[in-house]
Amino acid sequence: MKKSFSNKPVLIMVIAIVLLLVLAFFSASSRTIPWLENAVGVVVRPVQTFAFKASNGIAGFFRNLFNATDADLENARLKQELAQYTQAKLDLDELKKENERLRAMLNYAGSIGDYEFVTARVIGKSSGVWFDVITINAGRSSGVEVGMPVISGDGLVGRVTDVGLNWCKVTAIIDSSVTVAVTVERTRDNCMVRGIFNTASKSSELELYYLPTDLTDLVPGDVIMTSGIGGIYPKGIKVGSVEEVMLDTDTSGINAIVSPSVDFLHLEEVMVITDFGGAL
Amino acid sequence: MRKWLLVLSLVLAFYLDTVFFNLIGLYGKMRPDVMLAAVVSLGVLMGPAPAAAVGFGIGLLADIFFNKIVGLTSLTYMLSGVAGGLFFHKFYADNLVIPTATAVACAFVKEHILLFASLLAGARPPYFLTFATYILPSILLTGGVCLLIHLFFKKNLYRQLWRQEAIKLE
Repeated sequence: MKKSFSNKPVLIMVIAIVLLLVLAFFSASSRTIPWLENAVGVVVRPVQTFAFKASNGIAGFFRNLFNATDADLENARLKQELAQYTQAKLDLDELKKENERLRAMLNYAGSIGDYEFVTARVIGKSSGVWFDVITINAGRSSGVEVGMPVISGDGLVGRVTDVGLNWCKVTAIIDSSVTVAVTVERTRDNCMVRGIFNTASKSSELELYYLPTDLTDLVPGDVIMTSGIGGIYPKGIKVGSVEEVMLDTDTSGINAIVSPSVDFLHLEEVMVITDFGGAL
Repeated sequence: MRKWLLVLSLVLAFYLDTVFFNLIGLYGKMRPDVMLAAVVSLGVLMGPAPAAAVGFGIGLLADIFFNKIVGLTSLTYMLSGVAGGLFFHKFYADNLVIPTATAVACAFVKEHILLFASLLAGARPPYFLTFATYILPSILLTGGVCLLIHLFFKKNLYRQLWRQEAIKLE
């Protein structure tokens, strides 16, 4: 034992392991290590923003490569022909698209209520399948705080769980540890959705549960919105639409698979709702 | 060792893991762990201490910036560096089986640590389905990537490392 502690590398290793376990413990529960995250985040964030933006082009190329159906190949050929016109035209198209996305986001934001927003760009995602965390380039300096809801032009993205000076982490609603109080738009039934752990396909799904047992008319295509219950998310934000309705044999209740309205694989811009009058 | 090449390789590994593979999305959600593969290879070529330090640093950066629980990835990368370092100077650097098998074993352990963490966070992943569709393909991909990285490191870094060792011994 004494010999182990006189061995400097082993001692350093033991200290590092203890430190990392302490960090993991605190970060998993209360997230109280902002000083460390801030210091690193402030330095790395601009580099990461550039890297993420530059990657979209490369990623598009590989996506076409992996999805080489006739339509994809035809699409790629047409895109290539289009690219030959002029680089300026491409830049213009890109700006136009970004403008459209932002306009759609603002229109959507305006339609769900008179809230205050901060727009941000997605600059990274957690690796692996165990957690679904998105990093965006807006932080405390923009007024973002822990607990604020995040939306895109298509619907609810998630909730801020960690804030740095100029960046923050958003835990997405598809994370299997997240639950959201929702309403079925047509029937006005209140229930809950949670992320489903799915490693077999690229697309993400949610599970609708706590449906009233006498509810029988839930049908595929029904729109699911946030109910506002609990004050975490504002009421009326689109979460997704029902894909499949099934009987839960364990509880004899009805569950449903919900397809999220947000395409999390291709998410680029989001808005953080900084004030909606809810209990933040 | 050509430090700039090493740093560049690690930056590339960081970029591939945190940005590129997220955007690409291979079949299902499987993906190689390039950073872990690089750390294991460094362990075999450089020894446990430097590889553990690199694993600690690069893992902590990834944790802080992208991951939900800070410290877990860093811990697994650091231990992967140590695991790779167990074979330092014990086998010929040409041996590709050792780093590949070590990377597979380390990736297996890492995924199970994260699986355990996700269970504690409230997730209920179906184990065998997750193993068949994500863990197994991902750790095999990591082994494959480690083989390629080891070939690259051995060709570009190891000769200079060997020279430095020789100078030290003199």
